[in-house]
Amino acid sequence: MLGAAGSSMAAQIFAGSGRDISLDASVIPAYLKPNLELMQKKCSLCHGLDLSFGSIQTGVTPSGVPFEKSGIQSLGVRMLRKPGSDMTTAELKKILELINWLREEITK
Amino acid sequence: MKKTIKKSKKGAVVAVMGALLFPSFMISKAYAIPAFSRMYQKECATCHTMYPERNEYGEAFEKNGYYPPEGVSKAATRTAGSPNVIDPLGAVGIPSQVPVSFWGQADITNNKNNPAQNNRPQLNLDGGTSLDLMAGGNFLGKVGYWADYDLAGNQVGEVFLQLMKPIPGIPVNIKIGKFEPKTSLWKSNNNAMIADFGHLATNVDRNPTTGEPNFTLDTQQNGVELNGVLLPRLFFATGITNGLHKKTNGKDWYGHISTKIGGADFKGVEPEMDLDKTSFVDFLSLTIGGYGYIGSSNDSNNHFYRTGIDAELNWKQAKLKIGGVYGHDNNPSVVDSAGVADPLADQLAANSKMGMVQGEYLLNPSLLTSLRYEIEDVEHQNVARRIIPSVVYSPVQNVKLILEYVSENTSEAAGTKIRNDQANFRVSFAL
Repeated sequence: MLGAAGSSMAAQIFAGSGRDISLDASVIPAYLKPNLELMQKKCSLCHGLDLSFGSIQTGVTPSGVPFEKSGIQSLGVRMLRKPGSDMTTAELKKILELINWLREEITK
Repeated sequence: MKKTIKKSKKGAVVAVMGALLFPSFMISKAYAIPAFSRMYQKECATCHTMYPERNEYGEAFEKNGYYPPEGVSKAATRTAGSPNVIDPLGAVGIPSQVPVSFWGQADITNNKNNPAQNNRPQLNLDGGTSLDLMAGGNFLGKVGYWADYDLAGNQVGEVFLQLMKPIPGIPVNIKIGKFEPKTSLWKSNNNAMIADFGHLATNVDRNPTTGEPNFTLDTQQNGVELNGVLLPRLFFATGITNGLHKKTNGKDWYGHISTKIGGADFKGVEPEMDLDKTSFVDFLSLTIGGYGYIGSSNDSNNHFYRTGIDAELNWKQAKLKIGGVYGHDNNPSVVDSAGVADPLADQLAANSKMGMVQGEYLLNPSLLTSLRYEIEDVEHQNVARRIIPSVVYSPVQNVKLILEYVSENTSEAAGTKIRNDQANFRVSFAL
């Protein structure tokens, strides 16, 4: 559940919601830009980025499961191990770094 | 449901039955449904390598009564404003969207040398068409449900409820209705190919009137089953059914137990992984299962048992499945498709051995290749060996194009050998 400040920050980073959600890439620091490109490339192999962005924005997955730091790595490991994910451990770490940064920004 | 080449000592009968039943390879019931995608806002790939074959999470989801094994926070979801259909109408658990899905399939077959067709190629653009209606889900995490209907065949498929751990403190679910008894690790169609697992569809005993199998392991039956994840890596199931083709009140019994080493456990919990130091073992998992089935058929005159063991090895994009079944029938009825008893085999006790090895490799999320070898050896009848290579292309997750080749050699007890080859092409979609 987001507080007022978190909601405000989420609104700055993300526009819209659900299937129409989009991320304002200008708020992403330069050192994380490659991570964003990686996320866009790898995550979209299996699912729409709206699922990832929505979970980051709201702190829950679309099915209602909490999307917090402890669970994010576990979810990342599942994606890493999923057949056909075409993702390396190093790539997963970069994606997790970005997701955790976004979550921290939103919940500040 | 018929899935395999039938057995007889007579070449002509084998040929006729082969012609009749080869197309039955094309028929498959569905177990993966977009209703789950809509309900939980997930992609098909969440639960499937390539539908209907489930991945580790899909297995955990199924074992948890079609409910996310990690649980669902309804309050959080409502606050987030997610288009959440788990959010029930009141306390009755009726989903706000009707969880219905359709599964359509159409086949083209080319039978290269079926003796019944004078060994001439037979390109059939109407190799079979099916449309299934399915519904599934879970009421408030307390009761899983499933129902499917074959619209083309006008047949009710599986219809059951599964009470989730109704007794507090005891991790046992109760499944009641019509379903495929849990024996093997896999349902007969739990793969992305066209051909179902033949070793689960082997028949020894036949209905004297129709020539249809009196019993196969994968037949859907009405019954009651207890199942559950006793430990995170230990699953069991046991149940009773009415059985098939009985004249007495005797019931059939079955039991299954399986365990898993490596990978996510049966509750869907991922293994601990140090992302700074991974090894090939982090991507390796082995599931082993054993089962038994005891029953009777042939108007209760044939008492039989089956016992089997399965193993599934996963490593990244590669998968290896191995399954074997041993059986004994003490008084099977062996008849041809016209219901004529085979004098050489009818009423003789018969041991049977069935086995399967299947390797799969997912080249990318859209392209799967596989190769299967099957053998069915029924005493006094014949031995069938099949080699089945296939390629599955999925341009989007709910659409598949499958090209498959089935090469079958049947050796009769009298020494005659019959070969039957068939190429199959299927288009399939789920919505």
